[in-house]
Amino acid sequence: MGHGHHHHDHEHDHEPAGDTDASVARDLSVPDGELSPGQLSRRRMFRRAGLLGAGLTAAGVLGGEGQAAVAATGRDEGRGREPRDGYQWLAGDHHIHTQHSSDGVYRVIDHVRHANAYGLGWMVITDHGGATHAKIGVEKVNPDIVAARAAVKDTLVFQGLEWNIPAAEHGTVFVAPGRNEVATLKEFESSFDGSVKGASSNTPQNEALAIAGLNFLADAVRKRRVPDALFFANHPSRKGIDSPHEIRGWRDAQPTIAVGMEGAPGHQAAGIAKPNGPGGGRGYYDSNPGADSFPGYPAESYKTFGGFDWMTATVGGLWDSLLAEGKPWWITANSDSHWVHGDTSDRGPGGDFNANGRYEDPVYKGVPNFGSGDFWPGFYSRTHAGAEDFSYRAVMDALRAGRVWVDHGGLISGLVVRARPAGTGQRGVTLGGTLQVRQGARVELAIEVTLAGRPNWAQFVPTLARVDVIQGDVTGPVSDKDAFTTPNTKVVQSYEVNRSTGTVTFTYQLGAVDRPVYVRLRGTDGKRSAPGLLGAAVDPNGPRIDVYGDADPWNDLWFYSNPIWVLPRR
Amino acid sequence: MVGGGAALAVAEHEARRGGRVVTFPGRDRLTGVLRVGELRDASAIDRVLLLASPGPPPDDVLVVTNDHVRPVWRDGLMTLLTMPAAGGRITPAEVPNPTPCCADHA
Repeated sequence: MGHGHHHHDHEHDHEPAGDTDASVARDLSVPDGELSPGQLSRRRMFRRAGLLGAGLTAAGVLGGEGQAAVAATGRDEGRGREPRDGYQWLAGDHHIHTQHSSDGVYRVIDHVRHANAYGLGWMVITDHGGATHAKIGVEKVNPDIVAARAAVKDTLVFQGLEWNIPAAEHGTVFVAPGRNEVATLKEFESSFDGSVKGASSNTPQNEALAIAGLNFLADAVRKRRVPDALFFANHPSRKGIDSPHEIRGWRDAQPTIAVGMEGAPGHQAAGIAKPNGPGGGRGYYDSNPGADSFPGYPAESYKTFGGFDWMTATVGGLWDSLLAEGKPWWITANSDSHWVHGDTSDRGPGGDFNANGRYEDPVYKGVPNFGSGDFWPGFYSRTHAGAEDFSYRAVMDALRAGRVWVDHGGLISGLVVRARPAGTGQRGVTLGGTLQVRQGARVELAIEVTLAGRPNWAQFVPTLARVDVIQGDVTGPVSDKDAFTTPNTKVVQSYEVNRSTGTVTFTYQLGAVDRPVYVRLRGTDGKRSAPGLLGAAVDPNGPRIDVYGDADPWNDLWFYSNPIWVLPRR
Repeated sequence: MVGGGAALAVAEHEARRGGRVVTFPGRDRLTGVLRVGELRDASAIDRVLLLASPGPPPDDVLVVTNDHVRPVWRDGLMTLLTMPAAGGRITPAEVPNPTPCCADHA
């Protein structure tokens, strides 16, 4: 059983073997792969019970080991390491560009240090796929990422890339760290990137190449070439080229790899009015239907609503049409950081991107760049993942499980949601989960919102005006794979909050559940609202279309949760 | 070869249900900032619609044209789609210089 420095010394010799197994299973510095089958089984049991990580020690359920808990350092700084509902809710960002992107500028460590300072627990470096990156950049960026992991220990730094999805938009692809992370990403990019392969046009062959890419990733995980891999569709409505059937196709082909999309794009400063900002479309959503666009998408789909993508912002829209099918498909919110609004640095002069795979390190310019539309990772957009412990594996597990909520501008600090049989005292299930109940059982949704409670990175404390509960019927698979609406989803309850500190709790009664349904949450600072695109009866106070050239991101804040399904047994 | 999407677009254009119009009577007069009513009177544009709005904008609302007005056929009418702009004005939903796709095309 020798596990290096974890081998128990004489002072613990009195421990029964079972306790030793338990303590090793709980010691998260020992990777899963080094555990005995018994220890691994023990760890999985702890994970299922939500008893691993800081939560374990803080809760004291199995205390007495004297393990150092991160939460005990008192320096959480909003990083989410304080356990809530048995999970560490780690804020993160899966969409970040560096000097290894042809339109990037910053070093990896620049992003990692900023992200860490702004409270992120995990992040993914996603330089653009392309010929130069596939040949050089994907390898050159890795030592910088490895060095950043060592330098900044309380933010997990994944390597990924921004895939030019054949026949479609961009997407984040990333893997869990390991021996083959670079080789796997490089082979993936060389074989399946739409730019590398000249496969961007909207043809069945190119759509098939996208599926083949996802199959390659699933295969790499199955063969243990990499410990894990995930894909998220980025800025899905920006150009109208992610058709509904392509999104369904990705998810259905590899549901454990293709797990979601950006609910909100990055570039959230792009709508700040001139001369203090770029004065463009929020999220750089300023495109028009083109030859490869899905013709069924309305003109509204090319715009953002309260900073969110049309697929997510429309109650009863494309996202809901997937959820109503019972398909897990999760949303995230990220920075897409290339050039930071107001930053005083500039791209390093000289060098040769195509020859070197990267630009020279940035230099100080001394002139704030108000023409840039991006924020640093963690500064404005956050994807909160409920991880079972502080590890790469646990973050990916949380993202895959949909145990995720997102916010802008630090609108709220914490969100705990449980669907449970009413009045039974049962704990129920949280975001991304499915509650199975007997036919006709009464079900309730317990909601606990920890309000902002402290200033955001624009130095004010946001006020949460309102929380909406959105509910829909699960109607099963659709015959039209290009469907992007669903008829029975709407806002069913709204709670006025109008507070910025403390904690508020609500219990929404779903009543006797006689058919499969799902619920999700949304909240806002209440500064910009309008009836939803499918009518006021569906969404009386939804996000308003963003004003082109004058969209102040700090005065229009929203949070969104992922869904919970409730399935009555027949 | 014309794919399904393109074929649909051609059919819609011919039926004046969809498709974008680049050249049309009065286009050269649509520069600077105009009121909705002026824009309609000065050109072949039949109507102006505002995205995510249940009704058309009032005739006295100012349209910032960016000297780039590209109506579309919708319901048999030459229709200019607009979106909200700064200062309570509106602007064509199609902007003259969309952000180029940021992928590495090298």
